[in-house]
Amino acid sequence: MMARDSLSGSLGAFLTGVAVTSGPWLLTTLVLVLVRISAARSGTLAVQEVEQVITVVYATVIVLSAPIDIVLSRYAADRVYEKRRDQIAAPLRTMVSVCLLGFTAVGALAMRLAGFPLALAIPGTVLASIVAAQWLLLSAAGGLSSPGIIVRAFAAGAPLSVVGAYYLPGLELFGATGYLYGYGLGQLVTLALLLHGTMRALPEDEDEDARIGSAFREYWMLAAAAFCFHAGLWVDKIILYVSGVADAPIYAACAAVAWLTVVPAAAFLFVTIETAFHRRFRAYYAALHAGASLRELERLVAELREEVDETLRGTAAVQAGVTLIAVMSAPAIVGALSLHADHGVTLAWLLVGAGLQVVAVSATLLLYYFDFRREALATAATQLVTNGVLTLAVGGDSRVLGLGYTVACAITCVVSLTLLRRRMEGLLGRTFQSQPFASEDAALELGSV
Amino acid sequence: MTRPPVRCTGTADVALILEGTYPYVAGGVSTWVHQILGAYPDRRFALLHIGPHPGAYEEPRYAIPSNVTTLAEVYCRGAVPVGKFPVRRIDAPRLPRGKQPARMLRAIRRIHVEDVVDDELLDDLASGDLGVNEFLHGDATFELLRNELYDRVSPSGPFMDFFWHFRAMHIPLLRLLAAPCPDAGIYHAVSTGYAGLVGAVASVRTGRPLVVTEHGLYAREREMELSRARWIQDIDDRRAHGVPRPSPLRRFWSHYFRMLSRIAYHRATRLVTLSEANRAKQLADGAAPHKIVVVPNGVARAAPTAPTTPPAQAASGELGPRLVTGKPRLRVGFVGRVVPIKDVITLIKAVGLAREHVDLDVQIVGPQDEDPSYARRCASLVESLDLGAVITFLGPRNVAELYPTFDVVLLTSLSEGQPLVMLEAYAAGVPVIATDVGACRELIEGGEGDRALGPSGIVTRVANPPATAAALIALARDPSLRAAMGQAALARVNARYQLNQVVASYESLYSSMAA
Repeated sequence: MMARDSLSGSLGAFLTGVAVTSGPWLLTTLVLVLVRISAARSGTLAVQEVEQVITVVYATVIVLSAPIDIVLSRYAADRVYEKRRDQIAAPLRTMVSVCLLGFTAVGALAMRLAGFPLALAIPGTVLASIVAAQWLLLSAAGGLSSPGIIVRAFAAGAPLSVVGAYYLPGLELFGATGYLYGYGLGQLVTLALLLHGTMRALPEDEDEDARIGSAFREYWMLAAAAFCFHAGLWVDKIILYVSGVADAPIYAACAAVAWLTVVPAAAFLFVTIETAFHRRFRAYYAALHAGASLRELERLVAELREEVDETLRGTAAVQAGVTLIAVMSAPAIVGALSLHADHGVTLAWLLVGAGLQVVAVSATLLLYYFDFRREALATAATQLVTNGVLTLAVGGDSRVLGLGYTVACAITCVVSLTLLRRRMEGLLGRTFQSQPFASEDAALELGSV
Repeated sequence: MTRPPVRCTGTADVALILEGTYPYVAGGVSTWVHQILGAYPDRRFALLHIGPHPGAYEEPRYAIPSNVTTLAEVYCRGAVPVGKFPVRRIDAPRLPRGKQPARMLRAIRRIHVEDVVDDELLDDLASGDLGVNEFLHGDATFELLRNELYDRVSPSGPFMDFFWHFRAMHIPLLRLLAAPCPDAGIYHAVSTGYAGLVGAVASVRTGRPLVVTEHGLYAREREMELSRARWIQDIDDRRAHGVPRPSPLRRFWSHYFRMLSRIAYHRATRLVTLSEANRAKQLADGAAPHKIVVVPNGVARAAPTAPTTPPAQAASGELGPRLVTGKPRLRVGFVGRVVPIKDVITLIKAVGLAREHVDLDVQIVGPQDEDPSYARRCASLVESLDLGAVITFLGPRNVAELYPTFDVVLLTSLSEGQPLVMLEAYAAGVPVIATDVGACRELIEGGEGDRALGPSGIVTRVANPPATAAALIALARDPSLRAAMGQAALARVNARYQLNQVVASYESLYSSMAA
């Protein structure tokens, strides 16, 4: 689309970026908003408890499944690179089974710890296993099949979730739990479509002996980084809830709204990485294997460094504009959400924090792109630790609620950009010196020994 | 699989450092080593064998004498030792930063950049302060490559190729220098190259003297192999109408091996060579004149009088050449490994040319398992030239029994030192046709002390089947010439190439070193 070099082409590319980076999350959020709206119109207050169940489910699943998802994603990517797609299906099925069973147990435990009644805990547990399997397939399917499969799966399940959540509570059999069952039904359809689409993308001849166990050992750093990253997104909310801060739900709602503002920057990042950045990236690595001289490689590395800077600057610029508009609109947003005016300050802090965080996430994504795992882990751990510590330090004072998160995001931003800059400066050396040396090299047969 | 040493009972008198030879590879050098071990039963020897990788060799080809106290093995490739445990692959979780460059890295730099060998270089190599992990993944190594070596060696060539060649070149060096060397009073390297390097460093670390014996000239042999090596990709040069330019990496490797030789020359107290011809080449390659001693190979004393009839004819009971097809007949023996450096291909082609004029019965005696693909090529060539009735591959045999059955022994080697095969043939009164490599000309035409005996064979050009064929034809047609050459051969070996002379020379050498 970008190659068309037209306004419509660029617009199409960015909308595709929105769909790919944020489609599933936006659809899910939209569904939850619609559920809330329909429940509010029907005068049902029990939807608040349902929302809490769904929040606990997503928080638990996203944080705990992240390590599994990223390892599977990396495993699948490696097999695709090695042209061994036949080795993906068996481990994928295994991990889907593990998720369905394992997160049933995890979900049940989360429901119990959160103190939900059995009537909500049961569908909550089922929902946990469905969502875990969804996210697992999202991580694998991203590289195996067209993004359209993902978007279509969520687009098909979302209306069903809305319809189910609208009608089922009206049935005496379900009552208020109908929201959960209705929502879960749609998500089950999404899961089925994701599974079907993903398995279709894999070859029929599969290596049934393929195992993924060793990938967890090899990519433990990626798994740890994924855990820290997602835990870092939730730690402030969890701390506020556990601490019994009265404004914890308001904080969570404002945080959700703040995260919506990163959609344009995320789309920009996606388009840039998939086009200009990817071209430079491929040019460098292709030149390595094509016999480029040192001078040529140094030139390509410099261009790649330039492209990284451009990508980050562009992302930051887009985000800065959106954040500015959103902060100026904070009072209006607070009013639309029927919140107290004081919560506008919280929203403003969270908007700034989210803006900073998306820049940090961009830098982290680039670290992942270059397989700088240690640095990605350092960045994710920084977010987790600083967000947790500073949220605790700031406490529940509504005047500064959100400040801890914002400062944490600022620190993480600095750390991620510094690490990325340092690694990019040493990219050429790192490219070569990180190469493992195989013990046997059949190409080198010295005649004397 | 690493075999345990024979036994290890403390300090040896002499540590022999061997590269790809005794006790696992049969051949002239191994036979020489076995002679040395057997000649000094009261001296304790330790053997350090340098092989390519674990599992390269099967069982020893020689019965190891009881005066060998240790048989240790080290490898150029295979599991890479990192810290305490060998690992098959090295991953790079961390790159050491901020450290001062290791002395060994400085030595590596000097090897490639300064072209100078001195005590400081040897001390740096002996420091052992550069681990394999640091070499492979450290910043200092990459800076050396990037800032100095690449522009010096291959300024516009593929950097990736240069990088991997650099690694492959130095990993064996680091591995070998990290391996412990048996404790001994004298270190005796039986070549330069890796054996000479290990010996030189062991000598520096222990303060014990180093002796180097060169049979072939290691650096020159490597240069020859490197000029043909297919694992070095030449550069496609479209300006040269598609004819590839030689890769500068060939020169890179050649220079490296030359420097290894010079390191051994520098540290050695004595350099033993087999011939005056090789002595001249060692001097040209940087050896100090006062260190060089010529100690030719030797064989056990032959019968005092030469037979009056050619040996093969005596064995068959006939007094003249047996004419089967109306052509003169010749029984030819080749004794050696069927490997590229022996250039058996040229031998086969020469036989193919000569048999148009003479009847030949050629027996190729020696192992064929060292380079199976080359052995298959030779067998295919025999078949394609329809020489199956002429050439027979006998495999390993007791050659002492076979020499008397040959009219002539044929060597078409690309490189030799002072072939024991020729001396053994001489001891049986058999003349030799050999290529002009190593000490072959000197052995055939004589040196300062024995030129008057006359030629004991014919010297031919290297890799030249017509020249070799012409020599075969000449000897087939002239039995009296063969007889005269056989007598000269016997006289020559009795005069100059006696095993007891070798034993006495090394006894004197070892005694002076030990003192």
